[in-house]
Amino acid sequence: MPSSRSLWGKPAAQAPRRTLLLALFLATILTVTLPRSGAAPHETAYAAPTAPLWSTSYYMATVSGTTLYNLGCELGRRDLSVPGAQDNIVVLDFGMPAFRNGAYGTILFNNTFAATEEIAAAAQQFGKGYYYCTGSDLASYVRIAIGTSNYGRQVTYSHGRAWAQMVNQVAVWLYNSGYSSQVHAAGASDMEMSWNSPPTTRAWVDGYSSANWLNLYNYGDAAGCPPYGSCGTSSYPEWTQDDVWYISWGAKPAWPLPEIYLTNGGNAQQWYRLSLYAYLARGGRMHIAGTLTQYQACQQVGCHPATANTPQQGWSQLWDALNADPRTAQSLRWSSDIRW
Amino acid sequence: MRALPTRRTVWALLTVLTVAVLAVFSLPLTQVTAFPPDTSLPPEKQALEERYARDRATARQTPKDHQQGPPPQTPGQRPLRPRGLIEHGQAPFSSQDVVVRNQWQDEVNGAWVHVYAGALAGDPEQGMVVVVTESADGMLGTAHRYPTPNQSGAVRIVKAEGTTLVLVAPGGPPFTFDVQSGTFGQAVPGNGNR
Repeated sequence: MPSSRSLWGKPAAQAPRRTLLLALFLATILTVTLPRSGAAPHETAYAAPTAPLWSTSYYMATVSGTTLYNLGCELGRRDLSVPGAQDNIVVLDFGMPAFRNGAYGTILFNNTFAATEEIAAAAQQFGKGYYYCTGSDLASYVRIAIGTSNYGRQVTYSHGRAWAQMVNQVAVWLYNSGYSSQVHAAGASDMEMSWNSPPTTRAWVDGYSSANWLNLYNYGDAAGCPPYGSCGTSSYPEWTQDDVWYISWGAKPAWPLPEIYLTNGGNAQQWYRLSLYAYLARGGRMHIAGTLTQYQACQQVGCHPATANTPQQGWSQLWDALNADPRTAQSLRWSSDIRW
Repeated sequence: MRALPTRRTVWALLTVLTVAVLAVFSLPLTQVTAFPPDTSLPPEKQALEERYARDRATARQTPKDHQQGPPPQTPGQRPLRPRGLIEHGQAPFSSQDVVVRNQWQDEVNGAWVHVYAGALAGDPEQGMVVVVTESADGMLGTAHRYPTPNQSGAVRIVKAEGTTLVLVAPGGPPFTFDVQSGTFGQAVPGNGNR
């Protein structure tokens, strides 16, 4: 008469436990040895962090306090509705530098002149709207990057200095108003390789540096830079990586907040190579503050599909590029997306 | 003859091996970067960030005022807007997207309309006209893009007759663009002269 033993030679009652253990062992081996999508067998298997919640930046055609208050309030309400503390940078792009009737300012995108006092007032109202509309959310934060550009003939040392002084005034107003627990100011400029020369652009940055209390974010491009060339455009071919490094990081208050528009990852590669240049030639890598995309602008007005990264795509591309190399590895604090 | 391991020993070894494999291979499944990020900053930049942090910490000592005031009124007189051709204005496009040669703006049917003329950055032969209508709050609102029918390079606006603009490109004859209908047409001879 056959015994009541399992195939494993043990009494039948113990067979299920051993069978389960063997099955678990085999399943574990299969799980860890089967190929994973996206990772070659020789690559380190790691997962990038999730992109931060992105903010909206704006091309400004107005300095209306009401409009700016409402934009700040919109962001404040968003943050109030999202669990946890949010951390934002918002670029308010007020257009190209200008000087009219003895006053520094910009030409807004409606082609009217706005003096720095008006721009300051507008930025203040954005901050006020954010502060009040976050309501019971005491921890969320926005850094308002008050932006101009290196476009045109008024990109001068004096204008850069005046811009820094205006940003300082906004900071004082925010502090005296009690908003600085959640709102700060900074300077910013969209510095692009096709808009002006390196010496002119550097001079503006130097002017800003001569009077700044706070940061200066470059939310421009690196057109023509490696791996696509040696920097520069047909308009201004003389740009070098060192110039881009200087206006984005080398100057004391400068931080890069670059345009990461290209869906093929090209912009991300350019800024990785710039950070690597900084590491190899300038004593240390850049620390990039975040990414700027233009997905909403593309939805509004159309754009070339190749420049339509979503905020998540742009941030992830840059994060991946920087963190694949120990010489440039860094966290990436912010993600913002510009619209009209 | 060497004794074979007992079944008990075999099962014990399998158990230990399973646990070990699970422990080793579960670590990469968490969010771990390939390399630890470098968080150090140059002293001058560290000082600026510390300034922000000090500001914030000081401000937090004062309870938040939840009493919202009314939104501010729009400030007084703004400069008169230029109407017509604008040769040297910055357009709200990155140079990675559209290279703008010049622009035109005017009030059309009660709304301000901006027209930008140029070419695609990624395809310099493809002329482009972008029409933007402002929204009521002064922000740039709706827009449409109109690729030029001929790929003759970046277009410029050389003349405006009401809401009909005359455009020229380096490699082709002048032609017209109707702002209201968004259509291109043939220029009347002589309209290409500046």
